Amino acid sequence: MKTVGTENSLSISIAKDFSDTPGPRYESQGKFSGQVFFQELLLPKFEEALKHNTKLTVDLDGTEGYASSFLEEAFGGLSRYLHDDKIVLEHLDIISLDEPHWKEKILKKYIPKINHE
Amino acid sequence: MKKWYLSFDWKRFSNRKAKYEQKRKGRWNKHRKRIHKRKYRERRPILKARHLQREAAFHARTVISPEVFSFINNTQEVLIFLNKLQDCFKRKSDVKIDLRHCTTLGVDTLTVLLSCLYNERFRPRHCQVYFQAPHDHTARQVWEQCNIKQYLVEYTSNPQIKPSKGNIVHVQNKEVEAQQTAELIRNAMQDLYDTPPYKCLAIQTIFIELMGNTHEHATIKTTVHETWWASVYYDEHKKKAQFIFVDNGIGIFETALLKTIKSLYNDLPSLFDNDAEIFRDVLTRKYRTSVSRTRQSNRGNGLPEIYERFKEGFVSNLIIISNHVVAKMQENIFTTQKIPFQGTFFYWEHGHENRRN
Repeated sequence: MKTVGTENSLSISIAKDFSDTPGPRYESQGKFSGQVFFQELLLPKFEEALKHNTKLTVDLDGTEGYASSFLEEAFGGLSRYLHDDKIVLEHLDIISLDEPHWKEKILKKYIPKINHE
Repeated sequence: MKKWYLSFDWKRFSNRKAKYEQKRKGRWNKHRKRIHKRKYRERRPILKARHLQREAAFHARTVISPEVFSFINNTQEVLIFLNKLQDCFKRKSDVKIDLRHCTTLGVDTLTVLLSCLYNERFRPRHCQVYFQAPHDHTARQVWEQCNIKQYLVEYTSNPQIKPSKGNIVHVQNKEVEAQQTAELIRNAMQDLYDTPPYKCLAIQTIFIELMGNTHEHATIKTTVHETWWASVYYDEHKKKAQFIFVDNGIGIFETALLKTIKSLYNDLPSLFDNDAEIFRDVLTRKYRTSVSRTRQSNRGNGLPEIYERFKEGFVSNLIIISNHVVAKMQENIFTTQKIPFQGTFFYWEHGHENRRN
């Protein structure tokens, strides 16, 4: 697994850096799960992006297809882990040209609104 | 000349020749017997097995398949057939499946049959299954392409038949194996399209959602996981790839809906009279958060996600059969049936008109 980083931003390509056949939600369900992607790739890279105050770009293109549970576990999990949806939305950029609806779902639905009161 | 035959010399010569011939023939016969014995010894186990098999097949109970042996078009009769089959297995009897009179043989039915025959709750391991192939030309072709016998030879192992063009390809697993289904899709797309990319992201999404559902919800015990079966068949006449996904779990309504909705609608019993209507609402996300087994707000996206792919036109003729409900999405028909199907069955087609990427 490797990630490409530039001076201003960090990026992850799921097909290249993780797997071209992403799997289910949890590790116990099968290979290349959303849980593993979150723990091993997304979270460390997102923390790095926060540290450098840059954006993390996640490229969803190039794979064989996604399950909603994979994306929900990864991106929703990130928001739940940090207890802050605003920070996630500020520092996250999604590229999904093959299936544009995933980008919309991740940003509007899977990243849960967290009450900041 | 006559004198010679009467002479002592001739008689002596003739006697000696006869004795020699007798000895030679004796030796030859002995040798032949020895060869025959050896050959028989070698063939004896094969002959014995063949004899036993013939005898067992003769004594096996015969279950005749319906003429239209299609799970999507003749669901009730196929379910009656499966129930008859299970009755025979409950009596611990070998079964001969008679397909001779079947005129329509669907890949969907064969996948369901295969999933049942591999299921130990349905068929005990010691019960043998024999087949009588269909006489009808088209049905026979499908039967031969499916190669169901090859799967039944090695009962205990996990058979993986190499995908070949135009054939029916089956895969089975307990876990979510995205790589396996991606290969299945690639196989179908290569038959369907002349140019790459040989993939369909929407179908892969459907497969992963279904595999995940089977892994997580198909059994009551969370530690035990049900096996799923997936098949693909390229229909050359229709120029369409047919996809089938089956599991013999407890079905959608036993897992999520029945229990949850009973608790949700205790005061309104009329609402859960019709499982078909409830299923329609689940697909359109009406009961998403409340109905999901986990009852977590971020769960229960699987079925609606599949329905969305169908609505977007990536697949056509989506048919779902689970427990008492039959949902034919193309015609927007949601009905209940008398005989339930213990498990979950999904069927969809993909043709040139469904290509988006």
